[in-house]
Amino acid sequence: MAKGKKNSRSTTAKTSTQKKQGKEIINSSGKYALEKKRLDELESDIIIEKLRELEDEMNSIVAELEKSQMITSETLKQVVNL
Amino acid sequence: LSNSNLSHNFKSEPFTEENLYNALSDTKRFSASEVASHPRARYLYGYLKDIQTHTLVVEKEYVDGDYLEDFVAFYSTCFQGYERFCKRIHFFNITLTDDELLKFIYGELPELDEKRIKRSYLGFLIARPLPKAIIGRTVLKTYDHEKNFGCRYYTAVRKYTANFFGIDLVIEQSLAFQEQDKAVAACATVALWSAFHKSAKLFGTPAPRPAVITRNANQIVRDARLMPSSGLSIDQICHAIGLVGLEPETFEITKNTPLISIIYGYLQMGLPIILIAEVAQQGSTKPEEIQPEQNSLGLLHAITLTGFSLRNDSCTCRDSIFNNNKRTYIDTKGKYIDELYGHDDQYGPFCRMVVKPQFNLGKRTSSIILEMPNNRLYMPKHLIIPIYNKIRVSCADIITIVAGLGNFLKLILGDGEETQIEWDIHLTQVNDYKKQLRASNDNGKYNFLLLRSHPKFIWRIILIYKENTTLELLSDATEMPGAFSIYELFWHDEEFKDIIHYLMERTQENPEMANLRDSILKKDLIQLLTQ
Repeated sequence: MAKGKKNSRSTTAKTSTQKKQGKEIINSSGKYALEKKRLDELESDIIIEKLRELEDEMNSIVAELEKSQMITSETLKQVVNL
Repeated sequence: LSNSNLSHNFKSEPFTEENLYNALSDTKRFSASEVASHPRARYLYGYLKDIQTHTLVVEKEYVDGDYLEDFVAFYSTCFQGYERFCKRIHFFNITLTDDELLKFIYGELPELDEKRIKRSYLGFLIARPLPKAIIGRTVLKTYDHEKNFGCRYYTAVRKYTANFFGIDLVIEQSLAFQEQDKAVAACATVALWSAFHKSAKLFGTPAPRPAVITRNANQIVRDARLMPSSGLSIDQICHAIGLVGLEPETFEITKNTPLISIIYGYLQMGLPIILIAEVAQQGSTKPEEIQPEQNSLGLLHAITLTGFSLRNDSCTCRDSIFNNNKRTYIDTKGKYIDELYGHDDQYGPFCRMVVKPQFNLGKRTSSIILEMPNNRLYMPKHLIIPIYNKIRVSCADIITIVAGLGNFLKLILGDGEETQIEWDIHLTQVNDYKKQLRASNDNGKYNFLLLRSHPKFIWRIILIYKENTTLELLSDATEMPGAFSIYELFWHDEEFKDIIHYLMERTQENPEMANLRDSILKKDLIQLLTQ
């Protein structure tokens, strides 16, 4: 991805790119540096597939967490008596 | 009154194991040698020794309100002549004599000496005149924060004042403890009693005495008799909480419950948590290899959690949720908790429970197990938290939000399985939050938060990325269920903000990706993230 192309996409985010050890990275200070390779991956089908998986996972997570807050009538009868 | 007459009312002694057991004994019912084999008395000796007790002072005739209520409800109607007076034993971390204490009481000591005695006060315990349940209301100073390399946090604690012959002696941080007597109160009643002591301070609700708690709990249908109390059902525990004007926030623990994150989320604010655990005997099995069905004693026990030890440099247990044999991790600060502290009437106050992760979760019912002294293990089954009725958003609701955001960020930042994303999620009150903001050295960066109005109860959701605090979301804990509760989002780290803004723009470019992002994060959150 060329620098110009990136800048044309990014209109508000104050990001910058630089060459470091032969790899193009985003975020000049390098604190949260993202390699260009990673940015290209964002355009690939793999990431869309992973997002689809995450969407499914999230549905299960929500269901599990909701379940943990539901107390059954059987549970309510359990006696704490040590 | 001469000094010799006064010696009938109190007596000071050097703190030794023998003197403590003598002080706890009762000539009629429980000898000092019997006290010496009493597990709670032994635990208390060790605890008092650890907090550097040097002197104990026995107040020989003391009317204790909690015991008196139990006496009226049960013991006064027994044929055996139970006493209605107790002994109160005070503890000091300096050496004191009867003469010095008399001068202290009469106000004859120089001001500096008086202050020294007051500073040395460690708390008290009530010795009840009962055959076995001798440990009544006990209020003792907690261990120092530094004791465990600066990792101990006792949060569900409050200030107590004991009146020592007209002098107010203060214990800044404690929570009342007592052991069950199996007549008026079983473990669930005393766990509630301790929890109500703290909730009374937090929410201004009543702190009923054990006899009242047992009676309240038994207002709903019961399978056993009221007294002698053989325990409370979960339903009855919830009912007793409702009758003090609070709501029971309940969690049924499975291997998919983010247990340690939930415990941290509520305990950090100082909310006492009642942990219901199944008791197991360890035997020769390692805690990690325990088979619940084989080792369980089939008994449920209630403990009031009062604090935790947090070791920021080593992870104890990562919460996770299983889905089709895939494990989704939820990394919160709770994962650094290596010990929990609780009032356990099988042991004593501020008892240490070592957190042991369960590795092969296939057949497990909880992600952690708690290792206790004497080969005993606790397998967590339920959490019951007495909360103010206006706290409507639960920790699980918040974890739902962060699980989505965290995993989305992990994906677009390309972190892989060993994520560098971590969350600090905890409940707080607006006044405490503003005090914390004022105390923080941030050059006025967050002054806007001081001036704006906030809900009374807030979930703070702080994102830590690559060990940097980067982003904070504030959730209105009083919001109605199902509504979007995040009302504020601000960045601690501008560089991180830039990179997230950039990545959010990139994900917007592809309509399919944008749709998936919107489904995972919800539009309200995306709007806040991209502002």
